[in-house]
Amino acid sequence: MTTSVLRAFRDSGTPGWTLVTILVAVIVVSPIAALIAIASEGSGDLWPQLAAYVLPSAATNTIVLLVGVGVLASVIGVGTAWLVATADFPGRKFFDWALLLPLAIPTYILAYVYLDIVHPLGPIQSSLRWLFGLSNPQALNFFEVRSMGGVIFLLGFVLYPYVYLAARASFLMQSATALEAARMLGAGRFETLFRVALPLARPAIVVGVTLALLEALNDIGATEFLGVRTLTIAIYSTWLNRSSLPGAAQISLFMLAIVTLLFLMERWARRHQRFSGIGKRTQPPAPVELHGGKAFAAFAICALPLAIGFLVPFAYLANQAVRKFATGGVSPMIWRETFNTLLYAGVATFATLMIGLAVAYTLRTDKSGFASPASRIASIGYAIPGTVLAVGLLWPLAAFDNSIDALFRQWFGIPTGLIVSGSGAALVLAYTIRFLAMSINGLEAGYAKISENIDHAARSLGERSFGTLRKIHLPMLRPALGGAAILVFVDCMKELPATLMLRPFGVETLATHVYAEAVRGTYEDGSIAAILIVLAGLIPIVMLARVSRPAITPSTISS
Amino acid sequence: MFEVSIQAPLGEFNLDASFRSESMVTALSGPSGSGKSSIVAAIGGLVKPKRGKIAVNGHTLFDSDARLAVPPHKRGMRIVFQESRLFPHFTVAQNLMFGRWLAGKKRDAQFDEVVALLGIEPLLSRRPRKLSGGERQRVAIGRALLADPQALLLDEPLASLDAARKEEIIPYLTRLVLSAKIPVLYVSHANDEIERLAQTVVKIDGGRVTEIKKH
Repeated sequence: MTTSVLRAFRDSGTPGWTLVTILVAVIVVSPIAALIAIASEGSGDLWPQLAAYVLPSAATNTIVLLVGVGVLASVIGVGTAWLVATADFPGRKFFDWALLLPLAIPTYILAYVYLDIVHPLGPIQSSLRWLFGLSNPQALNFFEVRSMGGVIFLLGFVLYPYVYLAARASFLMQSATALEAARMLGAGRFETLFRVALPLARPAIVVGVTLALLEALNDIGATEFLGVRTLTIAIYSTWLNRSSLPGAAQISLFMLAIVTLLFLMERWARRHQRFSGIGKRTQPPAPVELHGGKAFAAFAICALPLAIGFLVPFAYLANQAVRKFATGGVSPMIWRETFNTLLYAGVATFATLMIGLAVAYTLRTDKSGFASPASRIASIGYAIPGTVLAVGLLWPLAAFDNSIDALFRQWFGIPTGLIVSGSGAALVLAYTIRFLAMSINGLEAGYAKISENIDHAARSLGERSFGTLRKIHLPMLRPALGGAAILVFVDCMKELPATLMLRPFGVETLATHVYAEAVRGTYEDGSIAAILIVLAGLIPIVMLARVSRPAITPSTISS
Repeated sequence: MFEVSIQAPLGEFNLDASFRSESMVTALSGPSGSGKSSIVAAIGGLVKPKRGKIAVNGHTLFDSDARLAVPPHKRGMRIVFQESRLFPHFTVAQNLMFGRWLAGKKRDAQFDEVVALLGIEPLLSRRPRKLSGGERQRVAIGRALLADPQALLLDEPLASLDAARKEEIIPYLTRLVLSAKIPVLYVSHANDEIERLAQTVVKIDGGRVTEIKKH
């Protein structure tokens, strides 16, 4: 066994690169290994209490939340995608890309905005009271957003774009030929949707729903502000309030089990379903023109999620930020926080891209067969909720810091303190692990466009492995690197749960600032930080809209 | 049977085609990109011409002056596409039954008749991806025939097949065309055997009708 492994290594193209990729995979899974180790230590007398009082309700809440968000996001995402892909109505071209905009609003900011908007003294209830001539704030029995229903509603309306994107692509390209065939056999729009389009789009939709649910599972702000105690909240409060890392690790493992279950269900829902290449179709079929009431209904169906998921919160934040700016000016803290955010996100983006590049390069040159499984393991970070990742990193990092400190005291008599945890390196590591998949996937796609002949040419001219990478691949990969950099950077900026737990003591970023203001209930004070995060979040969406534009133009020969 | 007079922008030139055929089998012939497939798509309702009129079997399907455009699924025009376009999530039998299923009909004598005509009995329980190109095309023709067609539009059904597969399917097409009880529009870019069976041949080039031949 050992000799065959060694031989495989020796025969591989560039064993050094393969070793790097394997090392990356080991680092990515190390937090999970640490969780298992900490959890098995036992949390002493805390476990019976967790098992009896915390876990059952937190697990039930989490599952109810996932089911609710999954259903709502699917209905909104598939419904709007179907309209935009197959019907023509006023505003269709605008909705086609605008329906992606809620992606720019992190869940904690959405919850933060709506808590203030639907507050008894907020704009909605105030104007309703004014309309009906009521003076008592309790006179209106308004929809309580601080509830499970409220969380599902808000998360569904902000996470549906994951489903929308997947379903739309499937309706436009993959199943378009089959949809035309169905219509030509006499199927009306609804029959086509339910008997052909949905079964064919199912694998894509399932992927979209899974991504949306991973986000819901990762959320810490919305659920906490709205008072729903999920597993994420249970992990955070067990660590923060009970100072029990083993207890937090135990709940984290439970949560990883739910993530695993989610992926198993995804696999099951996609079984035997690979419908790509039903027919070659470069242009989507002509949309059906809607008129009158139907056109208005289609407009309203698309406008509603866009308004709830983006326009209302964005307008509210912009208004609050301008008012705050006009009255009190920008607090000096915000500069400091913006700098911290840019610094951590920038360093993490650089690290993520470099590691992603090494992994993608290994995948291209590796002949040993180890690189492919190792790169898949290195990509699992996106599925680990931020809180779980942070708990898994806390202990190994502290152990590392303490041993370095001890070593330095012993040898040089200088204490180094918390060299990794205290410097923000822990945060950078967490971001890198969590967003590495985006960089690997992006660069792999970039590499796919570079012919291998170019590598052979460079090598035959005497260029070495690293030289080929630096002089040939890097310039050619620039668009892929740029795209991946923006995606990773913005996600680092938005990241809240891991940032809350791993930031150096006393350091605030834009995201933790918004969180802190929301916890205090001083919403207007966080509006500038919140709008900065949202504005950054708009960049990749504009990019995405531009990339997918060719598929958007309809192909009516009458137009 | 077919009465077409349409204008529509088409790539770099304009489609401006008018023809009328009272034959049971009409062939539409011309080089690639001449506008044949666009005419088929317009008859089926998949694209909407700018101006003109389309009538099949005496039923007006499109008339820009009267602002009339029957929705595609209500026209009864059954197109057989070049690349068969079978539903991958259904078996062959389910694909064949699709039209009857929508109409609330059961498997009947006509089903068996079409299956026998096309020789696809042994394929019924298979999935489309397990079929050869020729088999797929036969199933696609069967699916169209079983969906109560007002007319059958065959859009270069042989174009995506290699020579051997063509040989395999030609006898079935010949049988179908010779026994046609509904109007058939057969599109081809080569002067092929089936085209020679048509009573009327409409030649298209550059989006215009250049010749109408009657046999």
